[in-house]
Amino acid sequence: MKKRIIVIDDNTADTFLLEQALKGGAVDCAIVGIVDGEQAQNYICRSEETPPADLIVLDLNLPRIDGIQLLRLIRECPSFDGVPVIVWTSSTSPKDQAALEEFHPTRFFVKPSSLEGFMELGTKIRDVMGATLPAPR
Amino acid sequence: MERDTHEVLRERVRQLEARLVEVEAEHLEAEETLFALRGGLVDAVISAGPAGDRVYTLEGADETYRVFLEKMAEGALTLMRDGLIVFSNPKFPAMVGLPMEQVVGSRIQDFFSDAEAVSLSVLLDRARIESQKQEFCLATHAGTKVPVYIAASYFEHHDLECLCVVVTDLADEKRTKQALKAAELILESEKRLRIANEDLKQFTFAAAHDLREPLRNIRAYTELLLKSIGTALNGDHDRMKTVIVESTERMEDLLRDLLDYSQLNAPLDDHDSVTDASDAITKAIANLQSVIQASSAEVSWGPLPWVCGREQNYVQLFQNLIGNAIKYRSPQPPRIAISARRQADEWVFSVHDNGIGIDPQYSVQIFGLFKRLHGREIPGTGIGLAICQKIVERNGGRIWVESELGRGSEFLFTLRTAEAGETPAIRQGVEQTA
Repeated sequence: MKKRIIVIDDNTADTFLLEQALKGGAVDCAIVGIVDGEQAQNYICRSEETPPADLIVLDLNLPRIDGIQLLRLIRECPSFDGVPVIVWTSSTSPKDQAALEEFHPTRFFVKPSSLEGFMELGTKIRDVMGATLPAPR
Repeated sequence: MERDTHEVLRERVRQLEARLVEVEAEHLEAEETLFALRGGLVDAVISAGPAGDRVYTLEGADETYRVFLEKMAEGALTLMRDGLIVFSNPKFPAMVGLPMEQVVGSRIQDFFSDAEAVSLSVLLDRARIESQKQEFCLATHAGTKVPVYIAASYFEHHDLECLCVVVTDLADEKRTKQALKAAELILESEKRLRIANEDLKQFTFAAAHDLREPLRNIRAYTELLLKSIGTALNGDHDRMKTVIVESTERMEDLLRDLLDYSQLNAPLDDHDSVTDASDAITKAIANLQSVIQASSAEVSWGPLPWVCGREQNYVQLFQNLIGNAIKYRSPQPPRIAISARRQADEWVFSVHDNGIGIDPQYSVQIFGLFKRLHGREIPGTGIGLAICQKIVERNGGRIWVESELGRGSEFLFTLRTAEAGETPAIRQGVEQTA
């Protein structure tokens, strides 16, 4: 079964690279890309499926509603219980660091700058899903 | 420490503001009482005292009234129409710095400049019709000028036309107001400075972050593109890819160094920091371990003092200077000697190498931002020495180079000595590392 992955990031170039990396790592996935914090908020609040996704990848610098606020929202939403949340960003301010410690994502990654780095990241994310998802029946 | 100074300043402003309100209130009350009694608006004043309330009237309380005039903080005068002083309380002679007998019998105009004397005469004339108030500048016997506030009213005494004048010293109030204004200006400029620094910090962070993002994508997408083209690639394509990847790496280095440099513009909040220069060198050497080993460099240093400022900055300073000595080495293995000598109230540090040296005509230019004397054969951003200069200068020192081509370079910089009491003993002995 395809893994449903929500990537919330305004840089679609990074979303595309991540998709390449996951597919290169033999992860059968369908990626929903959301480029805006407000859209992401609507998606999270109105989601009817439980769980709404198998994995969420979240950037911190987003238009309108930032990643920290979204992370808090996801943590407070019962339908997202057990859904791993990966935060990835190109650099963190000290303020972001403090917030990350409070709303601890499943994993935190600095965005790679080389293709090789993206491929490695794909493998790590596959491992996160393998470790947190219940085994298929 | 800085915060404490501001707190003290703020407290002082609060005190001054409170005092100003008090002074103004006293001034107003005294004036109102005087005018009310004198002008007949009030027939009696009731005052609460230890023996119960007491009633004072103008007719019935000559004695009280006299005591009041004697004790009041303002000069009180009775003048004839032309300004001749016929009565003065003790305060007015004290204000002008002359004995009472030289004041009574003079004209009030005598205590003001010619120009002011004219306007004072006008004021006295007008007071016959309506009470007058105006600011003047009293010329004291000692030659100083005291700003005063003059209130004059007309009255008849035993069919004699007289003027009653109250002279209030405004210097105190002015001083209070000036101090208050100065303190407000300081607080205002401090606030502006804080906002500017905050803006700068946010700007540099945003710049470093936002400029890096497209760079990452350029590099990763170049690699992805070439990978997807696959076997159709030839040697030229590989070279193109190398140029793109190396350019993005270089841009990342530039951004990192530029961010380091701009962060040195932040205000000093490390007045209390002192650093053992030997410790800073040890840490710098640890950071440079791989290049030191690869080049068989040797760094030696003698006894070094403690200096004012943050260790992290000095680690960067020594790291940049030692790193340069290795980067611009001659065919011989690099030998770098660091020493410090006391000169008046500062220390002169020397970082001496046996490298390729620098043509003296470039000895100033090399400290400029992005200034480089070499092409890409020796990598570098051209920011390292600018960072060194900034670190030395923000700690109150100077940096310069003494060198000749082919004869090694000696980078020298001065630093203020850490003040007595906060300086542990100078570390003795010589440590060496290879």
